[in-house]
Amino acid sequence: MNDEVSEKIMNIFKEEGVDFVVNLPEDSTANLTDKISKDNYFTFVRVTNEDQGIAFAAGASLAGKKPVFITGIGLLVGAWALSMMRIVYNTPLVLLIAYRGTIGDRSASYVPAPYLDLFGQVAEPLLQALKIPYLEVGKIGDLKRSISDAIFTSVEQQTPVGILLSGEVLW
Amino acid sequence: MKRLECLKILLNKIDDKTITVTALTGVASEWDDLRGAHLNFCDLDMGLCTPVAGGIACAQPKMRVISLDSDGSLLLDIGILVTLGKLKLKNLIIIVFDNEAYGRFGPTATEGTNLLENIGKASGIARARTVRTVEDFEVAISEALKEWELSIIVVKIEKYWIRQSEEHRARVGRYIKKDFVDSMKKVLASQNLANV
Repeated sequence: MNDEVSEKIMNIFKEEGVDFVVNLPEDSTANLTDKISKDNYFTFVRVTNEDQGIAFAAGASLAGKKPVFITGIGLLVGAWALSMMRIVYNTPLVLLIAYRGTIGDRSASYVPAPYLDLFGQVAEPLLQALKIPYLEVGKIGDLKRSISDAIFTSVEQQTPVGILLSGEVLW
Repeated sequence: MKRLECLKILLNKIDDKTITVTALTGVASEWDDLRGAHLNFCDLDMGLCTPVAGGIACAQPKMRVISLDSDGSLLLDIGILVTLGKLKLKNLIIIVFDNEAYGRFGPTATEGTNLLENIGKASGIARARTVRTVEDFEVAISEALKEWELSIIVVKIEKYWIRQSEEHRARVGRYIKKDFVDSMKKVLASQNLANV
């Protein structure tokens, strides 16, 4: 993700009242999370695993925030907390997910291709199995509407919502 | 020492603006029956209690938050102590009821040790201690509530198991969440803090 896209997403967060971001770094979104961590507008929390991160963000949601959890393949680690927050507790939460391994992912030079292929194959089936509503955004011009819609639906339907980032947004 | 003895002491020491979050089964039912639904998010499954409590504490730094966790649950995500040791949330107290066992199914790694206290300290939580008597628990929680500093109190308790009360079982899941969020809204509105 380049500077232009990172700054666009940060501005959308601010317009939407998102000021609480949780993350464990992953390479496709590292530019974005690095910028967020240095912007005093945001409460930025770096966790030690994704399951913890989703639970931490859910806590912030219960306490009145509109949290976003930024991740990638680590979504798989978060499945336990995510299933609880979706099916047992109906907790609003937005997941910004680098859709690693999908068509166009050019990062295989520094991440083994089978790892990317793994996520490419199971990301959407996992979200479907956990009954998480999600959408995919591959065009920079669609970011504003997609992020806004995801936040709206997470609150309106009291559920985690996933945004899978791909295409020119990431690569 | 039984967990319930400590929970009764805790109930007498907190006010109605203190948020509590609990792990699952015994502690959830005992605390829910004692305190009720107000600002009480209870029965979080394995590994989720202290991370959720941390998220609440981070989002509302002016409100006191107490995590009522267990040894098995905390061990599942022991990394949360590393995260919290970095954040040093002043409004968070972690109480771990350590019966040194996974229910009826065998010992945890805490058996015969001060493991959780030591990991807490190594993670940067200076106010970390283990207590083995009701009297020591009362002193520890009194001191933790007096100071605004991230704390972890590991409470060594007897191994015993209870059946959850019918009142608690009727509330589990989304009802607990709704009651919690509703009570948060009221308290936040009364304090002019950011609303839910």
